Amino acid sequence: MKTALAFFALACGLLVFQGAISRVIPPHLCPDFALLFVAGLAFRLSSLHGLLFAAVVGYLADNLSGTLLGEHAILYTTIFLVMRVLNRQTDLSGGFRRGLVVGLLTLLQGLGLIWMAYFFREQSLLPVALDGGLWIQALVNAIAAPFFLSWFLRFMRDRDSESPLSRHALGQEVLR
Amino acid sequence: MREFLYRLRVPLLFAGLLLCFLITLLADRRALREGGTDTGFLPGIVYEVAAPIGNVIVTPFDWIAEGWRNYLYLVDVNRENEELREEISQLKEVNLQYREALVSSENLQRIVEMRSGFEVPMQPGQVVGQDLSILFRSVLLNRGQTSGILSGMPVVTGNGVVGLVTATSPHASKVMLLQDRQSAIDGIVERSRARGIVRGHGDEPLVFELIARGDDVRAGDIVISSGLGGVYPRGLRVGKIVEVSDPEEGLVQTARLAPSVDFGRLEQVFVLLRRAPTMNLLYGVEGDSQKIGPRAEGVPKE
Repeated sequence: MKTALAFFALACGLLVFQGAISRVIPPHLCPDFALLFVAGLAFRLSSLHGLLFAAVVGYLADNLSGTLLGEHAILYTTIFLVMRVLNRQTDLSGGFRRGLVVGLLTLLQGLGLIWMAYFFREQSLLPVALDGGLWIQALVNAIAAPFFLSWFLRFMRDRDSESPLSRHALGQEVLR
Repeated sequence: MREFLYRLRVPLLFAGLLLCFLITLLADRRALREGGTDTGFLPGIVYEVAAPIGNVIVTPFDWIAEGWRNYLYLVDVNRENEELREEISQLKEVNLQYREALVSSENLQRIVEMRSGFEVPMQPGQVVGQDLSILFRSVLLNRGQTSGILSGMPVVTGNGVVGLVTATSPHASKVMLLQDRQSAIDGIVERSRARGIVRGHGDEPLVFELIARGDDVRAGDIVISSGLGGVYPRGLRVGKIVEVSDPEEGLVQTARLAPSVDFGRLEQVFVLLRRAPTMNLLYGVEGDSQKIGPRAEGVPKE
C-alpha cells in the first residue's frame, strides 16, 4: 500500500512538475515524464497492477492537458502493454535500446492523439505534429529515457522489500 | 471456467478499462461542447493539487526572471518602462474600444453603452502550468470558482484575447488558449470591418479565415473580436495580420494573424467575470453567484 501511494505521489509530482516547467522552457524540449513513468512501470510491475497505474496516470495527464478525459489513459495503457511485451521478448537492458523504444513510443503516442482528435473532435492535429514539435520531443524523450528509467528502477527497487506489488514482479523476474 | 477467466484476466481488464475510457471520453466531449465543466473540490482534486504545487515550482523561476529584469538591467528605467508599457497597452485597448464604437455608430450614447459593456469585473490569475501535451494549448490558473471563475468565461491580458475557461475547480481553472486548434473566435478587421473567423493553429500564427473575397484586408491590419460569437465581448484585440492569401478561385480569402498576446510568456492573465449570453443559455438562467457545481450560475449580471 505504501509503495502504491509512493508511486501515485511520484506520478502526481512528475506531472505537475512537467506542467510547471513547460511554462519556463519550450514544452517540446521538456521530457514527457508521464510517458517515461509508464514505460518504467513495465519493467517492474505485473500486468494487472501496471495497467491500473497506467490508467490512473493517463487520467491525471488528461486532466492537466487539453485532451478529452480518457485519451491519454487509452494511450498509456496501450504503451504499458507494448513496453511490457517488448521487455519480455527482447533485451531492453541497454540505454540505447531503452531510448530507442521510448522515442518510438513517443511518436506512437503523438499519432494516437492525432488520430483521436480527428476521430472524436474532427480536427486535424497533423500539421502541428509535423511542424517539428513531435519529432523533437521524441528525441528529447529518447535521450532522457536511459537516465530516467535507471533512476526510476532504482527508486522502485528501494521499495521492493516492503511491497507486495513489487515482490510479485520480482518473483516473475526471477522466474524469467 | 475460473482458470480460464484467470488466464484472460489481463485482456479482460484491458477491455474493461478501454470501455471506461470510452465512456469518460464521450462524456467529456459532450461536456466540452456544452461549454466546459465546473466541478467541486473532489472531482477537481487534480487541479486543486496541481495549482498550488505548480505555483511553488514556477515562483522561483518568476523571481529569477523578475530579478533579471529588475536588477541586471537598470532598475528604475525598467520599472518605468513596464509601467509605461502597461499604460500604453491599457490606453490602446480603451482607444480601440472607442474607435470601434465610433466606427460602428457615430452616436455618443452608443459609446457609453459599449463602455458599460466592457466594465465587467476581472479576476487576475497566475499561470501555474502548461499543457502536458505538445499538440494542445491550454494553461492552468491558480484561481477558480471561489474567485468567481466559471467555465465559458473569456480570459484576456492587457494586450488582447488569451482564451476561454474550459474547466474549473474551487481554486484552479483550465484555460484553452486561442492557439489551440479547438479555439475559434469571430473577428473583424478594425480598419475595413471585414469579417472572418480566427482559428487557432496549434502554434503561431493564427489563421483568419472565411473572409469574403474582395473584402479589404491588408498586412498590418488589426483584428478585433466582433462579439458575434456570443462568447468574447466586442472590441478585444486578437492580433495583427501578417500575410493575406487571396486565391484565384473560390469565394473566400484567408490571412495569417500574429496574435497580440505572447503565449510563450504568459504569466498573469485576467478572467472576465462575465459569461456571454450563449454560455448562460447552455447553463440555464442566471442565479446564485455563490453556487458551485456543474450547472452553477456564478456569472455577474450583465
